[in-house]
Amino acid sequence: MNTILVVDDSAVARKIAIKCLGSIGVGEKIVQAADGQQALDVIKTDPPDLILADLNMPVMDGVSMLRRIKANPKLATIPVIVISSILNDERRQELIDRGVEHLVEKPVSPPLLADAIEQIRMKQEELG
Amino acid sequence: MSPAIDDVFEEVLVETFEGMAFASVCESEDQDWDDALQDAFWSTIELVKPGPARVTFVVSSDTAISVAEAVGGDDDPTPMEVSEIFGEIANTIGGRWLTLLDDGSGTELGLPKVGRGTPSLSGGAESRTYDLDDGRLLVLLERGDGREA
Repeated sequence: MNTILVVDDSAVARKIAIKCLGSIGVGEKIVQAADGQQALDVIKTDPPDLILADLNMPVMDGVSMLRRIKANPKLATIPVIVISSILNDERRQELIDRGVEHLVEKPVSPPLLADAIEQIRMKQEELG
Repeated sequence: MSPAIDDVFEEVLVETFEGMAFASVCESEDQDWDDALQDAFWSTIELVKPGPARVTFVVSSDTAISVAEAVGGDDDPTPMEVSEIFGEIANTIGGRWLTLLDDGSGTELGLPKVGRGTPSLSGGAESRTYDLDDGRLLVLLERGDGREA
């Protein structure tokens, strides 16, 4: 996972996620976006190996962004970890149905992120 | 379940401050808030559903900087960085709180707002004061219709 896109309207939340990635030694190149639309613009020009995304964002929220990513066959295989404070059962099921690989509740921490990334790696290895 | 400053809220408050700022939080024995507000940092988040309600977090400037240093990991954060960190704390607490309040009819959270000085309140806010490792935290809860929570 060389390139990782971190999507959150909060610069602080992006900084915390990037620090977590750094502490677990994941991601040679980190790209940031402040909302779903910015993220889509980045993804189209430079598709990342992994997306970390918040849900509650202005301009285009995370669910709308995910809908567009997963509807595009060229982008649908990019693994996504949703990092959100709102992860009730209904929201979890909606995201899983949309193909989100892993859900992490805020506040994110290095162990939580490492576990999510490891599960994605194992799944990718299984699929070859 | 209607938002109230209760055990559910305090569970989220404690876990969030521990998780983000490595800071302990406990209800203050002295509930009088005599800290100066003109230099305070505040952040507020609207609980749209279930709700409506609005919760506001207020800390002194010194406490805000201390918490921001712990969250961001950098010394001497700028006032903008401090405000952003308190916005993210409010956002995290609001989201986790809504998740626990959800009775199955869904949740909706507003976007956080931040500021300096005395926060603008519609009146009739329920308040509670907490002790942090390095200062105090004032929590204000208003119902969306302006009645006392």
